[in-house]
Amino acid sequence: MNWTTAVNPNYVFIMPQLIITATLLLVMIVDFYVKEKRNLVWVTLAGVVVSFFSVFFAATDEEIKLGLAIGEPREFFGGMLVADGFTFFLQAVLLGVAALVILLSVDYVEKFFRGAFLEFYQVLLSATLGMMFMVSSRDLVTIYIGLELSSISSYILAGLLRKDPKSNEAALKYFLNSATASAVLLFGISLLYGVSGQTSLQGIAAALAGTGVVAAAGEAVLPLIITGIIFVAAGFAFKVSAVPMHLWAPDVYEGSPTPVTGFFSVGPKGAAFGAILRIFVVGLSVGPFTERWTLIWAVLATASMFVGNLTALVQSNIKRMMAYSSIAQAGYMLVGVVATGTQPEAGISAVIYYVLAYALTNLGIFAILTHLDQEGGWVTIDDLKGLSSRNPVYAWAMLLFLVSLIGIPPTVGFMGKLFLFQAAAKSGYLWLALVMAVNSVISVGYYYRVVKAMFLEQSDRPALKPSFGISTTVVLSIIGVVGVTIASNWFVQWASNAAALLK
Amino acid sequence: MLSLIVFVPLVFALIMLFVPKTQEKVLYWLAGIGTLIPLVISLLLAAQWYTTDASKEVYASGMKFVEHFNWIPAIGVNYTIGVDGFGFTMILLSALLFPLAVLASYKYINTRVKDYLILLMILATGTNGVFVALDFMVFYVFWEIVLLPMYFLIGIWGGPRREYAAIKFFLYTLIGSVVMLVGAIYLYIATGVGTFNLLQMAAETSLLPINGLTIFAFFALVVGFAVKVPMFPFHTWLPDAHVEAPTPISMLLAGILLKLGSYAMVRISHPLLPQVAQQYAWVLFAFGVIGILYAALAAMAQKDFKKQVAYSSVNHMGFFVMALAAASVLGPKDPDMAQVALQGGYFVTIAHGLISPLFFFAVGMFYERTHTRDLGKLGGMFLTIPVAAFMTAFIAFANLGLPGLAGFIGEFVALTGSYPAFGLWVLVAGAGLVITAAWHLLTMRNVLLGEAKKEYAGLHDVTWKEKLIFAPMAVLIVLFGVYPKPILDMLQGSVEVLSKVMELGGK
Repeated sequence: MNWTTAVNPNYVFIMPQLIITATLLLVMIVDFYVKEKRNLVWVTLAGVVVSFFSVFFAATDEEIKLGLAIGEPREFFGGMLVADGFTFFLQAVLLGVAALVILLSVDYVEKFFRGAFLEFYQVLLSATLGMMFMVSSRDLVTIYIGLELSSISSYILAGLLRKDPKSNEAALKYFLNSATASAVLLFGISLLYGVSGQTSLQGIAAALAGTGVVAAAGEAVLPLIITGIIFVAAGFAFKVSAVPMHLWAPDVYEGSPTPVTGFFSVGPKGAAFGAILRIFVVGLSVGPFTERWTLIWAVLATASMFVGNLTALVQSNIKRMMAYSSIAQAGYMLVGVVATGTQPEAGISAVIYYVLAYALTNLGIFAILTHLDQEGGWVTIDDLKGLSSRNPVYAWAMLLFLVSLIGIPPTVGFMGKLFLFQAAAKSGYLWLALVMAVNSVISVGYYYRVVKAMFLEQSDRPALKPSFGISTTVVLSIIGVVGVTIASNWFVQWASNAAALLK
Repeated sequence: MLSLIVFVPLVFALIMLFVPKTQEKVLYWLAGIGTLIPLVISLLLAAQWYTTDASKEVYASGMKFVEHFNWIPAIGVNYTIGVDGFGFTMILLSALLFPLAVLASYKYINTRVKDYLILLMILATGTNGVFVALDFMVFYVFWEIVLLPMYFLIGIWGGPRREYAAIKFFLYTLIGSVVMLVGAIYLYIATGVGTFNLLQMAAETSLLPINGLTIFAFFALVVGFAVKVPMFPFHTWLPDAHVEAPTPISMLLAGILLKLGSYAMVRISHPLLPQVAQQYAWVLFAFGVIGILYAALAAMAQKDFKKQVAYSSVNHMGFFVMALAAASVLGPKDPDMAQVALQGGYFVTIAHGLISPLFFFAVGMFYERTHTRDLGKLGGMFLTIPVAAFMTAFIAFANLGLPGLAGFIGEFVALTGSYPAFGLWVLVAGAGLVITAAWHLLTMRNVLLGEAKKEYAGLHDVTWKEKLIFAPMAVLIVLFGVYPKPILDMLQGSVEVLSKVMELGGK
C-alpha cells in the first residue's frame, strides 16, 4: 500500500481549511508591509469569504458527489476527514459566522484593539480553523485536536482587552475551566478508546455493538463504557454551556470584548454541537447505550432551559443576560440531540438548522450591542433606553432578532423551534417539547425588558454614529432571519440531506 | 384575490416606512387606501360568492377562492388559503373595521403616527391571514403576527397602565399559542399524515381514539384559542387590555381579535378532534355559561364605563362557546339542531363584531369630550350632547339584545339550539341575558339621563368623522337585525359541513 492510497488526500475537499490557513499566514505577511493596520480586515474577510464559497465548490466536486450519491461519503487523509453534507453545512455556517464577526468588529477593533489588529484576526482565523476540523471528522483524535485549537484560540480572544481587568478575568476563567473540561473529555475519550481499541467513531460503534474486545470482556467493561460516555457528555456539556457545566459562561461572556462574545455564543457552540452529533449519533448510538445518553441529554436540556431562562430574568447587565439566554438556547438545541436517539435524521437536521438560525439571529443582536459598546457607556439594559428614537432601524431589527430568539413567526427562530418540536414529538419526547414551549414563554420575560427599554422608555442620548461594518451585518442578519424563513424548504432539504448520511 | 386582501396592507406598511414621519396626512391617506383596497376586493368577492363553485381539491374541499403553493414541502407545509362561510364573514368584518379604525385614529392619535399606522397595517395582514389560512403553519404564522403589533399598539399609545396591560395580553396569548403548537405537532406526528393542511389533517385526526394524548392535544388547541375568545377563566387580560388601549384599538380588539379565537375553534379544534370535543362538551358548556353569568355580574359592578363594555364582550362570546358545545353534543343525535346552534353561535360573534366596536367607539366619544370614563361622574348627556347620546343609546340597546337589532338574533338562535343539548341549564345563560339588560339600563340612566351637569356644558356634539364611522355599522346592525338571511345563507354550507364532522366524531 503506497502513501497515496493510505492517506488518500483530496485537496479540493480540504480547500476551505487550506484557504483559511493560507489567510492566516498571509495576514501575518501583510501586517509587515501595510501602514494602516486596519486594512488587515479586508485581507481576512476576503480569505474567509473565498473559503466560504470554496465549501460549495468542494461540495459539488464530482468524486465527493458520487460518494454522497451512493450513500457512502468519501473519507480522506487516512479516514480523518469525511466529505458528507453535515461537514459542508456546518463549515458553511461557521465560515459565515466568522465573516459576520469580522465585519461587525471593524470599528470596534480599531477603537479598542490598538496594536492588536493582527492578533485578533489571526486568532479568530485559527479558532475558525479548529472548529472546521472539529465538524468534518469522524475520528475522536481529529475532533479533539480541532476542539483544542478552537478553545486555545478562544482563551486569547477573551483576553484581548489587555488593560481591562474583566477581560483578563474572563480569559483566565475560561482557560482554567475549559482546560479542566478538556481533560475530562479526553479522559472519557481514552476510556472509550481503551474499551474499543478504536478512535474512529464507526469503529467504536462496531465495538460497542459487540465485536472484538467488548464481546470478549462481556459485562465487565460496561461500567467503563458508561463512565466514558458520561465523561464525554460532561466535556461537551461544558463546551456548549449546558447546565450544570455552565457557570463559566456568564463571566466569560461579560468580560470578553463584545464582538468576541457574539462569536463565542454561536461559533464554538455550533461546532461543539456538530461534534456532539457526530460522536453520539455515529459512535455511541448502540442499543442499550442510546437510552442512557438520551436520558443524560434530556436532563441537561431541561436543566439548561429552566436555569438559563429563569436566571436571565434577573440580570441587568445585558451581556450576562445574553449569556444566560445562550445557555437556554443550548438547552433547546439539546432537545434535538435527545431526539437523535430514536430519530437521528429529524434530530440532526433540527439541531443544525437551529445552529444556523441561532447564528443569524444572535450575530445580529451582538452587532447592535457592539455598536452601542463602541459608542461608549452601555452595560445595563437601561442603556438601551430610547433606542427606537436614537436609531429606529436598530430598534426594529433588535425586535426582530429577539422575536426570533423567542421563536415567534415569521422568523427563522420559529422555524428552528418548530423542527425541534417535531423531532422531539417524533422521538416520543413530547414532554420535552412542552418544557421547551413553556420556556419560550418564560424567555419573553427578559427579552421583553429590552423591548420595553427600547420602545417604551426615552433617553436623551444622541443618535448613534454610522458604522458601515455593523449596519451591513445587521442588514445581512435581517435578510437571513426573514429570508431563511421564506426559503425554508431549501435549507430544510439541505439540513436533512446533511443529516441523512451521518449515520 | 384573497392573497391581495392579506398582503396589500403589508405592502402599504412597507411603502409607509419610506415616508418621512412628519408627513402625517400622507401617512393617513396611505393607511386609508391600504385598508380600503381589501374592503373593495372583499366586496367584489362577496358579489361573486354564490356564483363561485367550491373547490374540489382534497386540500381545500368546500372552500372558495382557493390559492395553493408549496412552501416547505419537506415537512408538508403549503401556502393554502381559501374561505368558507365562517372565514369569509370574518374577512368582510375585518375589511370593514380596519378602514373605520384608521378613520377613528385620525386626529386622535397624535404621537408617533408613522409607527402607529405601520403597526396597524401589519395587524391587518395578520388578522386577515388567520381568517383565510387552510394550513396550520400558515395559520400559526399569521396568528403570531397579530401579537406584536397589538402589544405595541397598547403598550405605546395606551392609557396609564398600558405597559402592564400590553405585556399581560402578550404573555397570555403567547402561552396559549405555544402550547397549541405542541398540540398540533403531536397530531401531525400521531397521524403520520405528513401535511399540516387542516382539512387533510382533520380527515385523519377525527379518527384517533380518545386517550390521554388526544385529550391533551384538544385542550392544548382549545385553550390556545380560548385565551383569544376569551373564554372564562382565561379572560382576565381582556378588561385590562381594553381599558388601556386607545379607542380605535379597542374597536379592533373587540371586533376582530376576539373573533380569531372563535373562528379558530370552528376551523381547527372542533373539526380536528370532534370525538374529544363531543366527550368534553360539558366542560366548554360550563365555562361558557359561567362566563356569561360571571361577566354580566362583573360588568354590573364596574365603575369604569369602558371596563363594563369589555366585560360585555366576555359575556357575548360566552354565548358562542355555549352554542359550540351544544352543537358538538347534538352532532350525533340531532344534526339539524346542531346546525341551529352553530348558526346561532357564529351569528353572535358576527353581531358582536359589529356592535361591540361601535360601543367602544361611543365610550371613546364621551372620554374624548369629558376625559373621564367614571360612571359616577358622567351624567345628563341627553341634554348636553343629544346626538352622541342617542347614538350611545342605540348601541346599548343593540348590545343588550333588543329584538330588531343584530344582537338579538344570534343570542336567541344560540339559546334555542343549546336547549335540546343541555336542557334547563341553558337558563343560567338566560339569567345572564337579564342581568346584561339590567346593567345596560342602569348605565344608560347614569350616563345619558338626569340633569345636565354644569362641568360638561358647552361640549361639542358629534363630528363628521364620528358620523361617518357610526353610520355604516349602525345600518348593518339594523339590517341584520331584521333580515339576517344573507349572513345565515353564507354560513349555511360551512355549518352543514361542521355538523357532519361532529356527527361522525360522535360515533
